[in-house]
Amino acid sequence: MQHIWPIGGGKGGSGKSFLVSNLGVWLAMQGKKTLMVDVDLGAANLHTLVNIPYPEKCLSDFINKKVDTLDETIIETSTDNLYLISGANNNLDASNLVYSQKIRVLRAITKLPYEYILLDVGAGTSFNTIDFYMISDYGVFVSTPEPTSIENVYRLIRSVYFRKIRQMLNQQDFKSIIEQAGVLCKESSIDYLSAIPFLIKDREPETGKIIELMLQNIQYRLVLNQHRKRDNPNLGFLMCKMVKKYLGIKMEFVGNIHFDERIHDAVRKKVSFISRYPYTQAASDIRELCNKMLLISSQDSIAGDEHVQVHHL
Amino acid sequence: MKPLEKQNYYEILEISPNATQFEIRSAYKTALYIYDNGSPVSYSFFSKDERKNILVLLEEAFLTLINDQTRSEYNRKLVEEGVLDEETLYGDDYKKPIPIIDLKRSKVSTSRKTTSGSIESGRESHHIMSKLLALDVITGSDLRKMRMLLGVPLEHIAEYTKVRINLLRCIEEDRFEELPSMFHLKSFLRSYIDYFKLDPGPFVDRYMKRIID
Repeated sequence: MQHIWPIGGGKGGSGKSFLVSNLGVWLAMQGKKTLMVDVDLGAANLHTLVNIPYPEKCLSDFINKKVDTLDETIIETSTDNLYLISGANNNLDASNLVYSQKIRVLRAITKLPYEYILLDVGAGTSFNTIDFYMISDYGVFVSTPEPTSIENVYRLIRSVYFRKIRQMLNQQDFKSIIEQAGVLCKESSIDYLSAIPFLIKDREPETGKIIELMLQNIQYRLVLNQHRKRDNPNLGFLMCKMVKKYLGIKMEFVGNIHFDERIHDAVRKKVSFISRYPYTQAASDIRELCNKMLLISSQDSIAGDEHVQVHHL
Repeated sequence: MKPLEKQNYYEILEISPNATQFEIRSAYKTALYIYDNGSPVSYSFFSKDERKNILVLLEEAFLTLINDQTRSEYNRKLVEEGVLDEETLYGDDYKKPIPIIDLKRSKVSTSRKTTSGSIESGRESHHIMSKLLALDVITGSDLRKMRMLLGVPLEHIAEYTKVRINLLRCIEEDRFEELPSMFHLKSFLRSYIDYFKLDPGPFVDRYMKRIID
């Protein structure tokens, strides 16, 4: 079975690409055929982290139809089993991808024959970021234990949730439902988001049911990066509890990654942290949380819910 | 999720209806960590007014439940509304003895004396109690039964004996292996029995008999 994990976090510099590259290396070392896709279209740098400074192929080639299939843009990395679709030579306006092209990319990604596909999603909450979360129910959110980062990650989760509902409705219906919800409560209020599915169910029971099912299938994960000693180790757990309680989204906290000065060194030397410093706290944190995520996703696939991940594409 | 305003105080603090004072306190502390103004967990999650409402509700819940009198009044109200089942509320702890004659009603700090007074009267009046007292071998569950009959919460005994509550629970559930030593068991048991104004000697013997056999 193919697993797609979009990895993002709203705020820049929280360690999204770092996590993707290290997860990728670890998964590949476990013998899983893994592909990393840099979908941070405007500011790609995943290739740098795996030390391929001049990738000869990139995602743009597929978008511009220089090549016919996405398969042709894949490059091998120095690690066995680990592959990359880089965004290094993207056009300068690549971050403003039009919708039809985006759908084409997303569809192509789901057809690639890899066990694990990690999407390095960029910062921000524009459509070009959050749409990559639409492809999978197993989004990973990275934050640091700082209010700025936490604020952005909450915002991102809400935007993704909002977008998930939106794409199930046509524009007119959606507009009127939003108006209705706006009358009931303010947009910044916590009840605003949870009210929307109920309103839809009221109006169109069938669509409501589909949306309810879709929201139930969501299984997000949260990672807290750059965790210092004086930070509360339960912070992530409590955040997930809040998201579950007030937004009704299932979200599991998979672990803290300890802050480590050597990460900076690894990035500077363009080597993978987990293979350069395997015996550090941070590296073992990464291994642990990766194993935890593997366990959760294997449980999910055993549970045998046959929901198609890409229902709407 | 039920909106916060419609939840009862137990649901707001996420505790069970027969939570101890300690549990209430720690639940309040956890909740404050999550919802307080400077908390990193809920930063930007709520609007200003929402946070204020939540904090007001939390404080109300805490202040009501931490005070025994207001708590029982509140419980009664919940039972009347049918939100709570009387069984779940009084099934275990918190069945306080009602003093028959309360002479020193106006004075404080007599709680201990009045309890033990009512314990003595309750002990004599109950015939199940006398059956228990006449038993040849006493088990932890007998002790528990006795305590329940007299309506004494374990917390009170813990307070009186200065023995940790989970150790007392071990005695009542016959989990001796979790106690530090036989000597401790004996001395804890002695002070436990002492609370009920009974002669500890024969009780301890009858309890220990089983273990030695």
